[in-house]
Amino acid sequence: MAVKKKTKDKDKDDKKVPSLKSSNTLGLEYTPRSVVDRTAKKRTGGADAIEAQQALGTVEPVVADRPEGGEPYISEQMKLYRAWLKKQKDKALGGGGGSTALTEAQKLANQLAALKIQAEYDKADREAQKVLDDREATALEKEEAAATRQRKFSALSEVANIYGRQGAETDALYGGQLEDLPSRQQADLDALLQAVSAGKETITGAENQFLSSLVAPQAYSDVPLVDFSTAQPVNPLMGALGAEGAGTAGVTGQSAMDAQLAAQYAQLARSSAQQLNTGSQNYLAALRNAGTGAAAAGRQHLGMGQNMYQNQINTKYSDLTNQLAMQRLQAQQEAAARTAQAQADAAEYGQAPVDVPVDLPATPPPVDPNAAAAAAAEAERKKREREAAIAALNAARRNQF
Amino acid sequence: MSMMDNYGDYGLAEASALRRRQRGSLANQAAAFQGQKRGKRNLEDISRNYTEGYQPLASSFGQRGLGGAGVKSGIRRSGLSRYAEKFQRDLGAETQNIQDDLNNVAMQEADQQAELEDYIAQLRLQKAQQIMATAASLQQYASY
Repeated sequence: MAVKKKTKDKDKDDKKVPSLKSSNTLGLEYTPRSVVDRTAKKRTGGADAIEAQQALGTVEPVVADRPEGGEPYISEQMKLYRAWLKKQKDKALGGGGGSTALTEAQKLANQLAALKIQAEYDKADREAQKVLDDREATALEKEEAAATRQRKFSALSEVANIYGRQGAETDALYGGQLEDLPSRQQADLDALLQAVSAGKETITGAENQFLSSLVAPQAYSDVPLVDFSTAQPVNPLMGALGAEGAGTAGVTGQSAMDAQLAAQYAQLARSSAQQLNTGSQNYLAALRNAGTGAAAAGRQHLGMGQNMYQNQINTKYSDLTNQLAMQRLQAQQEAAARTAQAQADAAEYGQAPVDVPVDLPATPPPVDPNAAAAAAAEAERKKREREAAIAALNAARRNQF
Repeated sequence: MSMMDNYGDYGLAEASALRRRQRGSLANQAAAFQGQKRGKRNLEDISRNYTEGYQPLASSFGQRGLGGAGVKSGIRRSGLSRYAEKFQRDLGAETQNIQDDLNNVAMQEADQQAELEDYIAQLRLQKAQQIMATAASLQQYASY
């Protein structure tokens, strides 16, 4: 009787579950509610209570026997609960001084409970190890992510700086060119003016040289024409003939006619030379007019060319200015856009704390102590009903034999 | 006429024309000299021929009793007058030939000189025109 009472007390102690109502933040590992429901439905025999407590308390019922300090994330209450759970497991496995009066059904139930507990034990152990591994991996990943983030931030910041400097250099480059354009345009205009002036001087020089080279034509003005009209030949024979009685009238008449013919021919030649000389003078005037007209046309052409090229130079530099301004604007916008993009990219890896998304276990929901107590009462009730059913079944078997 | 024919030949065309003109002038001078020489010779021939023909003419009148000492016939006087007139006509014709030759050479010389002056003036005009055209073209700005 005493032994029986002692055993009862011991069972009472064993059934005393460490209270989990002291705090809502127990630091327990995660146990989904579905697990609690599922384990409550499958509860059988003496293992149901254990299983129910296990489900209510933690998913790591036997991790408490691990070395101290190796699991800083597990609270002291959890460790006590684990120790109690381990004790229950040993008891269920027969190492805890169980009663020898257990029926066959109870033994089977105890073995089933022991197997379930062992399975839960292994599962909890794996999950705990997984959490540890995940946390270690998470720490490494965080460290690597921080380093990578810093590298990317530095690189992108440098890229942003480079594009920023590029924008400034682009501005300086195009700005210098744009500043030079007016002076270059003025230089071209001055050169054009100088070319026009030189052209005018050349034209004037050619004109003067040509006009000075024109000399009054003398070819027909002083032609050495011969006129024998006043110098008819006289022969001594004529005197002798006259002395012999020859008449002089015929000779005189012939001489007069010859003189007249000679005078006529000479006059004709002089007149021809005079006309030719006049023609030469007119031709000289025509040459002078041609030279003067060519010079005037050249000056006019120069004036037109000056206006035309001046306009073209102005147009060219205006177009060039617009093109450079457009190119500078495009380059600046491109550099600014790239700078902004690089800065935005760098900002993503900025100095803010690194929070790399890691596939961590979800935060365990807080355990409701009232729900745990209700679940324990429900488990106790179901236990009694099962025991009653088992007893009725045994009685029926005995009556059958 | 290409550029090489005028100022672009650096005066070669003008020099060539001047040289041709010099040769032409020498030829004209030679022609004038030869014409004068030929005319003089012809005049001398005419004088000589008529001088040499006078004695036979006078003798013919004497042989026919139309001339001689104290005889002054009308036929003889008429014959001598025609002889003198013919002599004068030949002299005048040859003198006119000489004048024409000399004047033709003179006019040819004048024509050649006038042609030379015109040609040189044309060369200088074309030279000036091309210089002016080049200066007015502003070729260095053709790219604009």
